[in-house]
Amino acid sequence: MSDSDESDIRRGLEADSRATFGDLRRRLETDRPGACEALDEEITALATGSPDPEAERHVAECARCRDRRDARADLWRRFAWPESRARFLGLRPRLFEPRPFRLIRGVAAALLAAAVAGTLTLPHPQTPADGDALRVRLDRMGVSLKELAALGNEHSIRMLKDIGGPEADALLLGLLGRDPRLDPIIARALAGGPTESLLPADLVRDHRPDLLPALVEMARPGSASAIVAALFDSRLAPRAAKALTRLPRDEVESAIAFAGMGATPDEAETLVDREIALEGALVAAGRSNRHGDQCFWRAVTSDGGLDFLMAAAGTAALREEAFAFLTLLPDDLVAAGCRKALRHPALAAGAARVAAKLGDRRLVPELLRAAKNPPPGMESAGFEISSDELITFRSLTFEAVCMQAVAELTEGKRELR
Amino acid sequence: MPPESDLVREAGNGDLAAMEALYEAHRAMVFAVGMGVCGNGTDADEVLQETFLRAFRSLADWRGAGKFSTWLYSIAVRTALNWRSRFVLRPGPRRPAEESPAPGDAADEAESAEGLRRAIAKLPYRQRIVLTLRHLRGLSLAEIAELQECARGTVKSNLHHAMANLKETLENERMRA
Repeated sequence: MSDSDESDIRRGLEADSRATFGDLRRRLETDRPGACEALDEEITALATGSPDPEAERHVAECARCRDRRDARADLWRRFAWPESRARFLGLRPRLFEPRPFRLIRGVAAALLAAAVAGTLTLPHPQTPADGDALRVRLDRMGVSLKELAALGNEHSIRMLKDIGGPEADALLLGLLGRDPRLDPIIARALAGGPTESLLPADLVRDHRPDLLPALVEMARPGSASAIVAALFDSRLAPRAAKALTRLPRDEVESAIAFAGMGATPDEAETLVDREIALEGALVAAGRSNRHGDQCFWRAVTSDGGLDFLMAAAGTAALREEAFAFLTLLPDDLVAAGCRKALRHPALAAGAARVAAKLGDRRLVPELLRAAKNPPPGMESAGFEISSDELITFRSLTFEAVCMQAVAELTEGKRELR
Repeated sequence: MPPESDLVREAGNGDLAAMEALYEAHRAMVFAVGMGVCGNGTDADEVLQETFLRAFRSLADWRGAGKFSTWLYSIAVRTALNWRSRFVLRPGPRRPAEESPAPGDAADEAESAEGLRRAIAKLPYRQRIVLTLRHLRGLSLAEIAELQECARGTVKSNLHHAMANLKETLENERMRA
């Protein structure tokens, strides 16, 4: 057999393979368990007339899926729907009809209008009994005093005045400052006569101290001086202290310092317990020996008094007294207080001095750290008074105070006791 | 034929011809939604008219965000569900349904059609809507996905579950028979 004959025979036998890897992969995927389930949705799509090449290839090779497709296609063919009989001509007249009146909405609107109108046109009772009756009437109508106050008009103000009582008066106080035209009416209603006090704090101070709790709750800027007064009332003090934290810092500081200047010894003592009132307590403690004694004794006997002692140790006037009272406390407690106070801008200077006095070398790392990173908001560390030949005042930096304390501690010269 | 956006604008201005053009262009889709939700032609026609009535009355307020058909579809679904809860599901004397079995059909065929209708009625309304939009209106999966503002795969899945649920219901009924 010649070479040309052999090549003809091979050509005739189609020796070149037509199989591709794609065919093999499809077969592998078809044989893989779950392959049919993976294509279930595609087969449904195919049976319902949506072309899907992958599903088509699969059903060409998988008899089971072919049956599935045919069964779904049979079901699909069985669907029959009625024809729509609606026409645009039927819609046309309705397009220009007036809109149907919504009964429920109408009734609701009428009720609301009646309630508001009723609220505004109720006669003004003049006696407390009438005020109670008015309150009952509003309750029956489902109108609360807050909702009445929210109207914020002259009529609602007069009604609140007529109703009277702590709740109505507190709401009236809250309305002050919202509308300058209405403020004189509200102030007059609350004061019971003409008044020039148009600010809530002034009104409470001058005419209605009984509304101090309401003022504390409101905590409006401008009312710090009145709220500070609540610090002297044991029932209101916690709420007042919290309210002061919500007011501008400058306003609170000046109000507290002013309160300290006018505080009686008993009042000064109550300021010692409140961190926010420390400045006032220091001012009060410096007023007289009696003031100072009561403040320092309170400080060593109450839980929060250590802060006062640290702050007092930071002042030139009260430092020695503070050191003396600190000796009454356990060293460990004072050392822990020092660590905490070194991170507080109002206490850090005093704490550094107390640390030096305490003689506890374990405080050196805290002092070095504080000297490097003073508490945020820290300014000067007070004054040092020297009275050798002339009395001189020297302003000290916090870093200098800390480093001086470190030097004293490491040399071991001085001790608190 | 002017573009749909022009038709929408003119219909919003009260142009009846534009309204009619929009009505004819979308009535089959809205009817399919009505059929899907209510399950009978009479209620589907009511839904159709009510939907267009609401749509044309609100056209002036429509901001034009998205396609008109998508907006109309959402109105149609809400209207149909509302209609179904008010009239179709409410117990009371049933109105005569117009799609009674055709006279002359074989009894088993009528029974089969009735069984199929009952089985369709048992499907969740989302699956029914996909079924009617695809079969009755002839929309593609992608077009349905655009109307429903969802993925094509979601529509495909709903259609598949509809068919699978139908098959199961029909087989159960056959077993009971």
